[in-house]
Amino acid sequence: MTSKPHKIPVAPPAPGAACLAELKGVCKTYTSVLGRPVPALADVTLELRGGEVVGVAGPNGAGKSTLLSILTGFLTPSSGTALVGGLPPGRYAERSGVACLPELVRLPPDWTVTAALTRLGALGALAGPARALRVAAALEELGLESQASARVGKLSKGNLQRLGIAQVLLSDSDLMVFDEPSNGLDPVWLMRFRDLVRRLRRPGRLIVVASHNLDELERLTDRVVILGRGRVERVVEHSSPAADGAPRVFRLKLLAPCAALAGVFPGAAPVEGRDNEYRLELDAAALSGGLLHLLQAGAVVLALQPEQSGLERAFSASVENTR
Amino acid sequence: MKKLPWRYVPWLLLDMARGPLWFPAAVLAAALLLPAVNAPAELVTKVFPYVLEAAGFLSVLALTRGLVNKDLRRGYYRVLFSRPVTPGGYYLLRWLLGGAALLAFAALFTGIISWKYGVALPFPFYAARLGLEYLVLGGLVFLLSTLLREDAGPALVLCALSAYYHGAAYPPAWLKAAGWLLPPLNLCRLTVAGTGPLPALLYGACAVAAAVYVLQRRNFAEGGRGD
Repeated sequence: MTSKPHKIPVAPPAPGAACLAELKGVCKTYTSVLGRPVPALADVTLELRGGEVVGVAGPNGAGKSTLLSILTGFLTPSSGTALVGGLPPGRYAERSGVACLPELVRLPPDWTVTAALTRLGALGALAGPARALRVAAALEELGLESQASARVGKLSKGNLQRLGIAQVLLSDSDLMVFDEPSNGLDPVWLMRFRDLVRRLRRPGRLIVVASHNLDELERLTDRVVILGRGRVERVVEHSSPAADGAPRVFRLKLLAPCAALAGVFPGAAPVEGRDNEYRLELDAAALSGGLLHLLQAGAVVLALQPEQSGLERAFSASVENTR
Repeated sequence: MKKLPWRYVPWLLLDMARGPLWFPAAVLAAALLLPAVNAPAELVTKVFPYVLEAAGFLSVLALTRGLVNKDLRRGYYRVLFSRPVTPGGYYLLRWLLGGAALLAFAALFTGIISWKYGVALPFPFYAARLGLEYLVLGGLVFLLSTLLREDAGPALVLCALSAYYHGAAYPPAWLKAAGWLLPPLNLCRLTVAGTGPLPALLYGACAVAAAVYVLQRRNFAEGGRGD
């Protein structure tokens, strides 16, 4: 969306790439203060390929953060197998690093923005001159140049989140994990973040994004894993042609009433309280054909938009199932 | 040693200078700036080991307390250990730098007192004993820091029990049974001629090895927003 020069290496996605992360029957159970077992993940089996962007959605307590912690090696499963690049995730992180934006970005408050990035670059084995270049590029990419000497503890929530994203850019890892990346970002930075994720995509790299924002996930990802009570309820492949052709609910707004509407779209239902606005439930082919007839009949279409995305419908259905 | 993130040493030293080095630095500043008291050389030679021993003990605590659990509590581990670095290597390096800082402090402190009072002090002996103390007490705090949210308090309790155990003619049976768990600080004293340092070396090495082992095995996250 921006016309800014790309500072981060850009590469096209690689459909059908090899599996990078594999979870087989992964369970994670915590123990409560009273010693009772609290299941967080139950029998999660997933194959995540390099080159794809995968979303993770679910209501609060569904196990999203636990899943991400297992993928990044900060938690080990209670049972089952988790592998990243053929290694246990912790070993993979120690060997190659994981580009990770935690849900809450926590850094020592007395570090400055530049110092934080420089330190993390050094810890990530970036050598002197290359490190300085990458830090400068990350600062520019996230619009943090004016905050470069500000202390982390003095940053606003949005700037802290941008710093969290900037430190992700210092890593060349094939596994990138973003936990609630839109936390604190304003609409401008939300759009820039989407653009950034598109540019970070490359063959062999798996990008995982966990979010409560389904619209965000639909725009960013190829497919979304919906978790409910620690289980994989559904995997929605919303970027595939089959998903696009599935029946959906649309809202159609016309400039003026059109007599042909009832004949073209027999199921069209007027939206209460809205003049010349109708709800339609149909697939893409029926919608296209109907619209053609409607326009030929002289109707003027002011707006046409899906009322609920495929992902939202799948999410609603999954959440209903778990209640 | 190849797995230690040596490239990060300058920043670790900076962190140390801004934080736990305050106590040894304050002792050095006092030694340097306070006027020398009028005392004979024999008295200085006799009293100095006691002062260095106390300052060394407190410096070990200052340099090692919160080594691991502070980062865990504050959640810094997520950005630190998403880099290609082993947690065990990272904290072992921090611990080793603390030991080097302690010896540097001891050298400077001994040097300042020698110069101010014109006495010869046996620094190699002090360095050996303080190094051993760092291994034993610093290793214990390092281990406790990987396991508990608070480390210096429990370490002090173990030190007090150790002092009682090694000083008592007839320690209670429960303390005798747990004797091997107590830090053998009696072997690290500057003011008492100790027996062979082997038990202390073993104790410290085991504590440090156990700390690194725990770091390589433990779960850092607690899931959800709990961490």
